Amino acid sequence: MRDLAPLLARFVLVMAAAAGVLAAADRLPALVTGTTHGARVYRTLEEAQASVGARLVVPSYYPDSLSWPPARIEVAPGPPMVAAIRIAARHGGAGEALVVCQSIGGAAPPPPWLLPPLQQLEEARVLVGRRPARLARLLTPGGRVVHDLSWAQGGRWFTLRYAGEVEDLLRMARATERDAS
Amino acid sequence: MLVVEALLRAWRVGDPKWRLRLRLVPLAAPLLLVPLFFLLAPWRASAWFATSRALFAGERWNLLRVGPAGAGDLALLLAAGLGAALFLRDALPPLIDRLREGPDDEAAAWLPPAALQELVERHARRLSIPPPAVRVVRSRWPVFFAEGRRQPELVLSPAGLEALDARELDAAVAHELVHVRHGDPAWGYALIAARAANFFNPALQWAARAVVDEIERRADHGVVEAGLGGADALASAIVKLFDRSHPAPGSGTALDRVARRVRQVGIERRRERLVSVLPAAPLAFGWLRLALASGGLAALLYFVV
Repeated sequence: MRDLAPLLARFVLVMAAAAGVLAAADRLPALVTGTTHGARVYRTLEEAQASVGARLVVPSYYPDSLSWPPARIEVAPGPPMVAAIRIAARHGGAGEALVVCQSIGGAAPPPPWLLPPLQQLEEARVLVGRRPARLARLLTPGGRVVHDLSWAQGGRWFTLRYAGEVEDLLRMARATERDAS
Repeated sequence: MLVVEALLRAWRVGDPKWRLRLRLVPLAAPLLLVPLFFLLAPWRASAWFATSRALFAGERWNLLRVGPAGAGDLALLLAAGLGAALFLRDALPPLIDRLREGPDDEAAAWLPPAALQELVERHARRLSIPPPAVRVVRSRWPVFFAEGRRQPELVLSPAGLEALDARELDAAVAHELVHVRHGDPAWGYALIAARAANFFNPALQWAARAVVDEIERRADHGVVEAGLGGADALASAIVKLFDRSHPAPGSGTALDRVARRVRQVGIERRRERLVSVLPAAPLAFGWLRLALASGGLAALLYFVV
């Protein structure tokens, strides 16, 4: 029995070391990218929906300038989880042209790593369908002007960030609001 | 694989029988646990589990991009390629040799010398097993192994016989007969089947190689323990057969050179173990250690998705 204690101690030590190495390796990508631990990335909308167990709403109206399918879908851990569907411009260009953010299982704005805060130039109150929404004109560090449109609907918080015409953004928001109803 | 390696070192396990049993744990884990988790713990595939319960989720590495691909997907692809390369490197050459050579009239006509038959019978008597048949094959490389599950055979080539002196031959034959006594040729078939089923898993390919090393270690130990041959003679036979069955150092592709180097290190370690290490003491709490290693590995794997 005297030999049993060191045997068990060594076992616990090895298992703790293995768990520590795994946990450290798990946290490394979030540390490098500055995101939250637990964030997930998906290649397709179907894969993301199956994994989060909820339908992700995407606008049924799209300007011709946007490509499909989405370039990347990221999900921030919850609660509530927040998904960001990133859509590139059809003819290339810098970064994504549209980001559709929506919280799942509770209304919450996207975390800063998912939708980075930008310098605000203007803000206005608008209606998306019959819902009050906030429209902000923002400046990216690269000098590009983008618009954020945010509103709460059915226990979800939607934010659309678009680098394009405000009219197109409002049309996409109205289509999203109809699809989510 | 690394967990069991660490446990073998931390517990200082020298007994070849228990080393082999413990080495089988990382080999069996992916074969048994993956389907078991899939059936009994389907929630492991959910976002909730990956986000809030998993100790390590490979997909999280997709946050890092390498060109258009996520680092997690890329690492998985590279690991699958490495696993397949390790498997094919061991499985293809014997298969190609067999297909290329066909029936071997010349070798069949080459009968094993009476002295060799007598040597096989003598060792078989001491090991209390029926003497296996001796089959000679034509090969420019030294061949020396036991095969067959129900009717084991000692397979060798003239080059193998010519490479060894009388003492070395004595020890090498004894080594192969210890394999026969333990039913090791059957392990060979089981291992190749496990490797084929998980050809994409480099950890399993590595674990299978470690099991083969332990099987060899057990046979080496068996020869010395039963007094069937000298440790020096067996060590010398092992080195000679390795040197003559591998292309000269520096020749072949880069992968060949790396593989040769890795195996040479293994052979050197095996030789050192034979000539310098004292007989291993029997292991206390063997079954408890096996249960701890199995349970610990299963618990870790449960939280890895």
